[in-house]
Amino acid sequence: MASEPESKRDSEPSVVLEATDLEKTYDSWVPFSPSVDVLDGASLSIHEGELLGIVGGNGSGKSTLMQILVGVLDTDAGAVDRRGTIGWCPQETLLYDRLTVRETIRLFGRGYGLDRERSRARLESLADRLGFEEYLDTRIDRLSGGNRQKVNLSVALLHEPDVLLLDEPYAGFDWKTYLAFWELAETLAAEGTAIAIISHFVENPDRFDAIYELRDGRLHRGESEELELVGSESEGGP
Amino acid sequence: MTDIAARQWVATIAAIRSFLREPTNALLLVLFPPVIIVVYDLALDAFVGVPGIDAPAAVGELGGTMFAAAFLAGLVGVFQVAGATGPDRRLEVCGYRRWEVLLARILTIVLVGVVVALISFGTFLLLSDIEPASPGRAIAALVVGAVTYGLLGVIIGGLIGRELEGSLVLVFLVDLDAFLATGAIPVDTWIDDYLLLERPYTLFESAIFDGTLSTGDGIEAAVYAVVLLLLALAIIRLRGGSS
Repeated sequence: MASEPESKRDSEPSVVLEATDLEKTYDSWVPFSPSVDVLDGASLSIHEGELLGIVGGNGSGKSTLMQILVGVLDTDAGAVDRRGTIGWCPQETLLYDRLTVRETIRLFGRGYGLDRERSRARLESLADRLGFEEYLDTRIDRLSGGNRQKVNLSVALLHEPDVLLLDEPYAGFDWKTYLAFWELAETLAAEGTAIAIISHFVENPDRFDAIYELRDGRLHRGESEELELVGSESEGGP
Repeated sequence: MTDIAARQWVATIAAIRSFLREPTNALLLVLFPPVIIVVYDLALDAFVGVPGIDAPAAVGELGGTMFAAAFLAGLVGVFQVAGATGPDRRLEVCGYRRWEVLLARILTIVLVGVVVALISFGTFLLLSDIEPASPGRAIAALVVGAVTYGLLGVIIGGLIGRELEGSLVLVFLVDLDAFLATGAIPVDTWIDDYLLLERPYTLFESAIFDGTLSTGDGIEAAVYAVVLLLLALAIIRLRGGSS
């Protein structure tokens, strides 16, 4: 179980997503190819209004962890308890290339249960905030990488979820958009949205309530110098 | 409109837009039927006069029309799933149920199947001297062939996962199938009985010449479509990766 993160709040925030003892191994169908153990007892609790960073080296299993937290990938062992609506921004822009931005938002908005007017209002708000208003009628495959990422992020934010799981959300952003992203993330966290951001590295640790490093299949809490093992056998809980 | 109906509408329209916005696909819809009907006619004309070959003079036009309808619908099927695994999974995270995503794909195939059947039949009317006995039934037979191959396209796209490679497999299968289904070459093997276009072609031929549709062939074609639908469901289910 994850150790209690330092909270910015006075009252005890409730857990909105809890992952316990996650294990994942990728087996190969090719004979004599080795299996790859990615997660080995990773545990994590995310509280309401908490802003978490999850870092790790290339191939450490960050995206695998994220996909399991979201629910698009099965875990071999362990469990994920989701107690709120999820907004997922995958590392790859998983969008339909030949739809326009407006059509994309309408399609995913329908999935979230938003009607046309609500989707339009959210799109206008997010486009204004992240700066892609002039591309609303542009096809996804004709957007630059940075603008595509803005739409990718907007799909995750569209329904104002309880938990935001963001995998390298600012990859390709220019400086202005990067700052706008953080302003938005901090506003959402202050309003109670739980946010977990996966990245190769953290530039501004002060922005986070807690930072975890994914190493050897487990999540270790703390700064780079002194990481506390976060696993099922460790002390403490949310 | 109910919530599910609204979601289906948005997802189906999005799928059709995605397909038509690929310039190659749009061009194929317009150019493929006349080209293939003419080429099929020229190619099979040579067979008709050969001793031992028992095929009507119009076999090339009929076979080409069925080929065009089946291939174009199959292409839609391939494009519906190949390369769309990631976005489809995200759609599920965003609230669509897996069956809703699949239903939108099937609806797209049926709608586009009707359109390609109409385009193929219209081209047939323009290029052929034959006066169809029952145009409505002939179109229905083409729709059956198109939907059958649309579902096969979903299976191919699900298994291969890539548009180009999936299209190549599709064109090989539909070419072989449409050619053997015409009966231009009297092949007498068990494979002949299981070809996907055998029944749709027989239905199409009888609708053109007699204005009738055989109930037995219709039922068998429907059974094939149901089996393909179940296979497509299983593949879509498996490729999802998560329960």
